[in-house]
Amino acid sequence: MRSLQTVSRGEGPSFISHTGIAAPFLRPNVDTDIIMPLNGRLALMGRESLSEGERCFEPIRYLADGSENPAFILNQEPYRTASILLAGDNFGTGSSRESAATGLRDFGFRSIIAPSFGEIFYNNCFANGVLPVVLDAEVIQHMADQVARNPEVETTVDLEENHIRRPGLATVPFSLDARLRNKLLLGLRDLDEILRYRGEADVFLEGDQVRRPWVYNWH
Amino acid sequence: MERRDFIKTSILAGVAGSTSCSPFRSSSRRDRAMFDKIWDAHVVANLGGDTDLLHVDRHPIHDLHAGVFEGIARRGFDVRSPELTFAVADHSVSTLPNRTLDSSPTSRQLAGRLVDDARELGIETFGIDDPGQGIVHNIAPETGLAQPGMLIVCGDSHTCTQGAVGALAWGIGSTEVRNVLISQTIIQKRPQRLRLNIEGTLSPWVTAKDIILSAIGQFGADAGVGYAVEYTGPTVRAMTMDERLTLCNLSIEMGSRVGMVAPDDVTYEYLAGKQYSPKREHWDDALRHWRSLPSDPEAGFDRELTIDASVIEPQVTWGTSPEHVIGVSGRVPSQESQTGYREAMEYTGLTAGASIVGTPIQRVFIGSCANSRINDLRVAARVVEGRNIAPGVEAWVVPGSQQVKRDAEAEGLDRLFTQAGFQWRQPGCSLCVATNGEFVEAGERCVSTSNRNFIGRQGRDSITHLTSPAMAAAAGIAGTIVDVRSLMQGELA
Repeated sequence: MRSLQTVSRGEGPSFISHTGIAAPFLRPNVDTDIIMPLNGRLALMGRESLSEGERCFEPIRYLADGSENPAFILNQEPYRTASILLAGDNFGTGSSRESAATGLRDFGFRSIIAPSFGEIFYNNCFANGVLPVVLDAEVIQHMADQVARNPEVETTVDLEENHIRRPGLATVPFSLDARLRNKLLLGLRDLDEILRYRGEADVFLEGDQVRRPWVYNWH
Repeated sequence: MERRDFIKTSILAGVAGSTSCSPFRSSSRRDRAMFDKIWDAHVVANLGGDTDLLHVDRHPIHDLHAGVFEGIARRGFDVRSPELTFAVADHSVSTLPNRTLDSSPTSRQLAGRLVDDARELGIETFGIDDPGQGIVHNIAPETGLAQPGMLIVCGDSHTCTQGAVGALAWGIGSTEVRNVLISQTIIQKRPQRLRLNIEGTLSPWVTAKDIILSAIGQFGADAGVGYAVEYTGPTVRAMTMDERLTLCNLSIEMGSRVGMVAPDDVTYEYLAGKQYSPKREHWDDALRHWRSLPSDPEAGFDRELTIDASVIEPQVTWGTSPEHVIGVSGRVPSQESQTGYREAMEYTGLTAGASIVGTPIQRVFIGSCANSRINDLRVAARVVEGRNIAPGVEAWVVPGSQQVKRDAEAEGLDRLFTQAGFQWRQPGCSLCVATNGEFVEAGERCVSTSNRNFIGRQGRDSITHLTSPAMAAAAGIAGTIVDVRSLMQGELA
């Protein structure tokens, strides 16, 4: 494998390997309005100074009086300090709000593992150094069972090795689009890549103005 | 000859019927899906594998992205193509009749700032007082900004709505919004293609909203993840543009960022003469190009689904995901096997096995980019005409745009609503996302024509039941969830 140390790093957020507490929250279709509501009660109560991490999962994390909901897993030890989320199908479904990704990151999550993701949310994760990993639901259920037995035991999500490991668990391989993997490993930003094609974009635009003048001459 | 008449004549005469002189050379001899034709025509560069850098034709920005211009200036960049960028005040604005920027707690900071900053950069704006103001996904097609064959992105997941005119349109995050402003391009991995074929004639009082809700119920809220959806079939061909826009709007609720309908004469007549439609000197070339867009007969799709629209009845959601949906004559499910069942039932407080009809409601919202166009308001107005709102119910009608508001008022629809006791308000996103200071109170049950019944979506601890405009209007009259067909006693839609 190519040594990462020899490659100059980009300015974007990176992810190489992360070890931390995993929290099982396998509810399906957890939408972006649950992850980061735009109209939350805490905000309405004049507590706008709360960080995104504190507001993350607000509708199910806090009770009507603003106190913590003890039944919510991230209010329980040791999951308060979780940095890996084992999630259900279609996690992050719904809106394009990037605060769903930055809120999870601010809470402390570095990786979300789910059978499938809302696609806009999925892209937003990469822009913010959060690694979404797609695995079969059965595999995630098995990992969740392991975690529930020994919640204090840390899990490692290793992007360099493309696997997840945890004491007592057979190593779980995962795959990721090569470009996205490289982007996180090297901390590359989309914008840097886009700007390298400025010349091509200008040529395209020039040609397209001839091919489809109606798109441009709307004034 | 007036421009509109000229254009109509050229559509009807089939002036541009031939596809042989398309301005694009096919990149392959294979039959291609419409999705691929539009994608291929926008590739600036391949970035390896299925990922391309694509040119963006239209980039509308709404007021929740108010700080974005300052953000790119701070990084030392300019807006690459202000003439392809459009700024719209919709999410944060109040919908009160005599609203100002100060009528909402957020709109001066958001809508006011966005429009001021955009104007300074020479970007076309649709501010709170603009006669063209409205919800971004409503005004883009309605003004002709969104056209067949265009690639459109916007920092809002319901951008898929605009695919109804035969555009390739999807929602993006705020980092991507910034990158598009700087470069007028976007990096994207090519999704797979899904064809959803819709057959059969709709029963009276059943609408495009009921079709797409039913499809989401059948196939699941994640059925479209990884796919761009093209809606095809005779039922789609028979739809008006307003209905196609509703259909495409809820693509994201099925998991697909992209929903699209191939352009046809309905599309061309809809776009003819609109403010930003191709000018007369370009119209024939545009039309020739548009006619080359529909999927070729042998185009391959990665997944095909078919639904029979003739058996669909008016739909109502019972839970907290759009896939939690039943026909109005149905019963609230009692299978725990249903995805997310327990949490949903706990939140919506319904009784397993009970009929959904008769559930008392306190609020009605007719609006949002799903259902606030003129056809929607006409159908809802017919339901409320000569009737009165049930005691204790608060019902709002929020037209999708100033244009629709004016059209509705010219037809007298506003009076039908207000005489029945419904509020007639100003255009905006309003109770769909409740980020403008308007919300449904905790514990209140709202029948809503919007697209998301997520927990807390319309306000903390509020409960949402998604329906068509006809069903929402009927609920306002009955004070409970009701079958619009029984309320109208056989009256034809």
